[in-house]
Amino acid sequence: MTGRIDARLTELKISLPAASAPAANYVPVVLAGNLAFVSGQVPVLQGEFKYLGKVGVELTLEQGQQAARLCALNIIAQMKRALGGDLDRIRRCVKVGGFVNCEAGYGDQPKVINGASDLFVEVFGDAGRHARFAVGTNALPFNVAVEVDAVFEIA
Amino acid sequence: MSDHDRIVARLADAGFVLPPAMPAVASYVPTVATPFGQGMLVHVAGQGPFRNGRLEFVGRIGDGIDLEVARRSAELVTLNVLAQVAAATDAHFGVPSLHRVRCVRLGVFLNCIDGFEALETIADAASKIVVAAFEGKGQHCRSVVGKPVLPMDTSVEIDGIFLLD
Repeated sequence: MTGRIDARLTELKISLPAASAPAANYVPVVLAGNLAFVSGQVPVLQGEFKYLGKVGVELTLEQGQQAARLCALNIIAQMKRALGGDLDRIRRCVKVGGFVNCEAGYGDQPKVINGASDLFVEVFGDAGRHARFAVGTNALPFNVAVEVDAVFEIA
Repeated sequence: MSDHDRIVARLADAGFVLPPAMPAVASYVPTVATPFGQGMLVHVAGQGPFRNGRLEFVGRIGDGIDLEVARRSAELVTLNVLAQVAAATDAHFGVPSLHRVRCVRLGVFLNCIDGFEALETIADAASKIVVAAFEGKGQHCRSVVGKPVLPMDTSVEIDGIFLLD
């Protein structure tokens, strides 16, 4: 199925990663009424973890932003699978939660998570504008640099 | 046996006793229920590893707290989350009604050393209880992150979002 958002992705030359299977006793997306909750996604591409380590130590700000962008692409891929392939059912992005693996005192978490936020706006336009938090953390699963979760409104 | 009691018995069979719901430890309420579609959405405040009003697991995972202890801590915290959900169903339906619950999301915060990697293994202990309790309606999404410190030095904190039908 090729919809409006699929066409936009093509226009942006974005190919979505394969939606990764849940690693355990949870699911990537829960649909509840008109809301879709997406589990925390990490920067994984074709089964391989990218961007390992702390932003500001092993990784630059730009790499952190790329990691956040890859998390966001995985979120869109999970949404596409949960919606039976129809991304046009997304009415808007409601909330983004961004976690940045960093050292104490690091302050550029908002800039890092912009990598995800900017992608949602690129893809969904005004409907991609969302509420958000961006915080630092001292450890993330598999030592990835960024984890992002999200809530969408769906039709 | 009522449908609610069957869930409590299922947990007991798996070795888990549903505790009474704890009061909040600061200026907030343990749950907020808001109308949502035909049902209610219940937000559960972050719970800690308390048993009988006492903190049972304190300290950092990876530094004194090993993986097994961390998993037990996550199990206890999850039971406290479910206790809050049971209390919310009691308040809403007039009788404890875990059978009318669906788990939407868990947020898992782990007090751990820098760079600790096995976060998912610990969060799985929490997810497993939720699925044991609610079966198909326990399939939830979740986020799990490390923290250099948690309130009262607890090792695990978990919050959640649940749906009442």
